[in-house]
This record gives sequence, C-alpha cells and structure tokens, in this order.
Amino acid sequence: MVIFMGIPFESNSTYYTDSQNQAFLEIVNPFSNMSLYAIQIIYPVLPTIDGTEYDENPTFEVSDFLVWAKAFKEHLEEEDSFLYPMFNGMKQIATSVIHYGLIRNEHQWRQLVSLYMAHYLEILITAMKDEGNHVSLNAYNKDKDNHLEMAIGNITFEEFKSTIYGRMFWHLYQPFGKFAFWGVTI
Amino acid sequence: MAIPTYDKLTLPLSDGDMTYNKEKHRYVLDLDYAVYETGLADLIEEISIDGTNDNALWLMDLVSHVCYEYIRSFKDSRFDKRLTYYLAHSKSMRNAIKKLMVDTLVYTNQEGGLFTGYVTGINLQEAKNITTMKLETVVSMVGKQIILNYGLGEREFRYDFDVDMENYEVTW
Repeated sequence: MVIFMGIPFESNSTYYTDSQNQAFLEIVNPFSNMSLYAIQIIYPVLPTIDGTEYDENPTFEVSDFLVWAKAFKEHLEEEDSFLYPMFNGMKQIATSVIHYGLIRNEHQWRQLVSLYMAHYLEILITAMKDEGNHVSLNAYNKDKDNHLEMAIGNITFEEFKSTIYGRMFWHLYQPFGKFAFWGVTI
Repeated sequence: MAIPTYDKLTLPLSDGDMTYNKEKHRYVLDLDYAVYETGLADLIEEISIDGTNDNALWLMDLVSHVCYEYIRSFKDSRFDKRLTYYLAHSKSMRNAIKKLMVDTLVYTNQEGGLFTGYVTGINLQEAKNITTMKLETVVSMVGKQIILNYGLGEREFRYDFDVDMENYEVTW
C-alpha cells in the first residue's frame, strides 16, 4: 500500500514501524517529516507462522504433574485413590485452557499445566475436607464451625493468589495469558 | 473399586493379638497380649474383685469401644458405615487400632488416665484442665499422634472402595 500525503514523492528509504497507528499519527501531523513522505506499508513484516505446528499438545502424564507438585504423590499412587478422578478431570481442562500454541515450549507448557492443576486440586481438597461442616448433615456446631470458611492462605478464594501453586502459575502465565484472552489468533 | 490388595483383608482377622467381635464390629485386645505389650503384669489382679479376669476382659472391651468412638469422631456421620468396613478390612488400620488400644491401656494405668478423662475432661498427659468435656481427653497425646500418622484423622478416605451395603455386617 502506498500513501501520499502533502507533496508526493518517492524514495528508497524504508521506515519500519511497530504498528499502523504509529505511521498514521505521523502522517496526520502536518509538522511531521513524514507528512511529506511517500510511505509504503508492508504488513506484516514477520514471517508467517506455520499454524499447524503447535496444534497438538505434548503428552502429559501423572509423572509430569508430580515434577512440579510432588506433594500430591501419595494421593495419586493408585487409580482408586480419591484424587484420581479429579486429576483426570483437571487434566482435560488444563491441557486445553493452557494453549500450547501460546507457550511453544514443551517443558514450560508442562510446568504451567501442572501448576494450574495443582492450584485447583488444592482447593478441591480443601472443599472435600468440609471442615466448616457445610456439606455434613450433622448439626452445625456453632462454637467449632463458625469461623471455618472457604479461606486459603488467609485470602478468600477469588483468584490464583489464594494458593501457592496458583501464585507460581500466575507469575509465569501472566505474560502469555494477556495475549490469550483478547482474541488474537495464534 | 476396592481397598488396594496390599492392604486388604478379605475378612477381619482374629489372631493372638486381637479378636474381632462380630456383634459389635470392632477389634478387642487379647488379654495376654495386652499384658505382655503394656508391661502391666498385675493388670488382671489389680481390677479383679472376685479373682476372675472378668473385669479385665470388660476393660479390654471398654478400651476398644472408646478407641473406636475416638476414631469415628474425626469422620462425618455419612462415612460411618464405610469407616466400620474400612477398619475391619484394612491391614494397616488393624495395626493402627492395635497400637492405639495398647497406648490407651498404658495411659489408663497412669493415675486414672482414661477414666479420669472420661469423667472430668482432663487429659493427664497434656496437663491441661479442659472446662468442657471432650472425647480427646480419653486418649493420650501419643494416641492422637497414632491417629494422625495412620490417616485416621482425615475427613475423607484415601481410596474409593465399594462396600456391599446389601450384606453389610453380615458376612464379616
């Protein structure tokens, strides 16, 4: 695309820009040197990414999870372990929520999936313990149960910061995550 | 789903250490084993009135009753049947119960122990006077640790296992 503003002329100079907006701002400013330039915008300048390369997730097994969340080892030793169904459920969700195409590094992707899963499994265990007797049919013991609420690490559950795994996850995923939620096609 | 094979008892095991009471569905310490394990050589004579070991047998049953109720106190009522089944069919839980009952017997023989705890709410080993009576006073602090180490203090079971509710307490 060639844009003429002011007195049109062409030159061999090439002006690289991060975005079209930046170029347009320069162009509409009558005191800018660029208002006199003939501009050829070549976009995008980056090579086209092979869209199929990261379509398929790497494998993810219990052993991958235990690398980053060893505290869960004893709860996942048997397929009849109480945590196993939750592990499988969370695995399905986590491997699709954490886009491999966004991370593009097998090891880091496994780490993020593990931390994401560990965060929710910790919360599920807390819920299962039912220390506040919310799910119990026993009579509510006011002295004992009143202060027990769904608080983890002194922060009520509302964000990833409520567990240590969630904190680690969010610290690492934040730079990737901000691109994942705004409709950028990867 | 089942208790893992390495931990599973097909039927409750009665041996020289403990006998399974099929009516009350709990293990009870064998008297000779209890005397040997606790070192309380005069246990039978101490509480006997008529020279028989009837009172000592009653004490074994009471210790079993107290320990089982203490273990039950950690679980919610909805798990009660599963817990009874689990305690009867798990090797490691059998060991835990045995240890707990032996420890409770030792504790009982210390200046009143279990009985003092039963009626006053004082745990002698923790040396604290509890104004409201709580079940924890009838078991020593070692007993509490046994409970925690064996996972009996957990609200949920570590394994998902099936209990034949149709024949509950009938075949075992």
